[in-house]
Amino acid sequence: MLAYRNGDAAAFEALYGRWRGRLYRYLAHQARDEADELFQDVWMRVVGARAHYEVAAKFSTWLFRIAHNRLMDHFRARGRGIVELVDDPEDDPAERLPTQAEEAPPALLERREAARRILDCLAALPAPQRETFLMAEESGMTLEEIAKAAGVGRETAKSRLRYALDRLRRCLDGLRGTVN
Amino acid sequence: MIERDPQLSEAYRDADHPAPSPVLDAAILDAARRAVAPPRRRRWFAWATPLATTAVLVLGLSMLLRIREEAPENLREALPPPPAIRTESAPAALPDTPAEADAQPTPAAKAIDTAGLPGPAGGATQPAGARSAPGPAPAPASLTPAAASSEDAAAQVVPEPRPFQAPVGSAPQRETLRPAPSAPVAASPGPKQADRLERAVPAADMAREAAPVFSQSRGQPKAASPAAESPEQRVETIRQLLRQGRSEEAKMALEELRRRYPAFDLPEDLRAIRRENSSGH
Repeated sequence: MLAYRNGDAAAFEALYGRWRGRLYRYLAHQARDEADELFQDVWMRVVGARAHYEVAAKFSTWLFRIAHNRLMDHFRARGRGIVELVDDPEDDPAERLPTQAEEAPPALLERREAARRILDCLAALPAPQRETFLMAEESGMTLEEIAKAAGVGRETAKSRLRYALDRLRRCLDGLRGTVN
Repeated sequence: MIERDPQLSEAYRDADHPAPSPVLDAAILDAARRAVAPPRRRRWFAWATPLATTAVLVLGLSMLLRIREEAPENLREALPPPPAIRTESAPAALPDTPAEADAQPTPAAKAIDTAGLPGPAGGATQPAGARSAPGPAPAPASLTPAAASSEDAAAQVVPEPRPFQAPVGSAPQRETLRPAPSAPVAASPGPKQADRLERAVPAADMAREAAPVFSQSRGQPKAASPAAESPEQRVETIRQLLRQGRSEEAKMALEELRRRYPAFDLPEDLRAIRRENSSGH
């Protein structure tokens, strides 16, 4: 990114090639219909912020921080409750009830192929957990970096990730049990 | 340490994920390239340096030409007024014609000319009297056209003299009185320059009075222009001509003196000659 800041366009191409798929998946699994728009917007923000870029964190942390903020703006514009985006539903015992997908795994198994099961389970996760899981899978960041990118504390990020993994396991186990 | 589930990670990686389209990739990469590409205006800036240099040169040259054009005027304004020196003892001879004499620049004028404008110095025509004269009056540059202007100005004050008719058979003398080659001067001054030269007429006249002209070939005193000679100088010249036995020339010079200075009180000896001349006619 420093090379690109200094005018090296090839450096941006390398960065883009390395992160385009991961970022797009991160966005697409959270805002499927507007993924292209959000994806382009995030990269334009990266391009626009190049002049002020300083090595204060890993590029992935900086990139996913931008993507996270853009997603928050998008969700706010779409009228989604800020509580859903920010608060961790796992802190509320009521949120631990099974989701709709978990309640009807046979229907999901019928509609989706095995390779896509995880995506359906992922889509059924609460937004903060899904985002944390996607950050962990796509960026390879540590908990501290995920927490920084998401703008939360480390323990919050850890909790979200743990709940996300638990839900996904239960989701996949339920699907397997249904299939079997 | 981040908590991971290998089975979940494997299932996630094997899933069919969406990917950005090539069109989207191209659009983003193109925008990124354009953001760091040299702006188009830099192409204009490439012309800025030679353009600025050319402009500076043109302006500098025009200013230099203007300064050179106005330098003589500034020099005249800076110099003190010339003293009224009359070299009565300096011998002088009448020129063949007033026009010829008028067209002949004085050494003092040449000195100013060479000082004000670059050109060949008139050292060969610089008379000793003019060099030793204390502070010769400055005269305008390029006296050839200036003489006409100065004479025009003088004609408003004194009657215009008739053209001087050279006596028959005076070719040797004419050769003697032929003006020395002068420094090259402007052939035809513009209106602005002529106006400046007209303003400098008094200084030129006084310079002519103070600086006698010598023949370059024989070293004899050459008559200053009639317009520049004072009546006293003309009287001396006439007396000198009489002593040399050139009575005809003396009479013509006397007539010229009378025409130029009708109010001048002639000395007794010249009055007698004038009376003889009148009675002769």
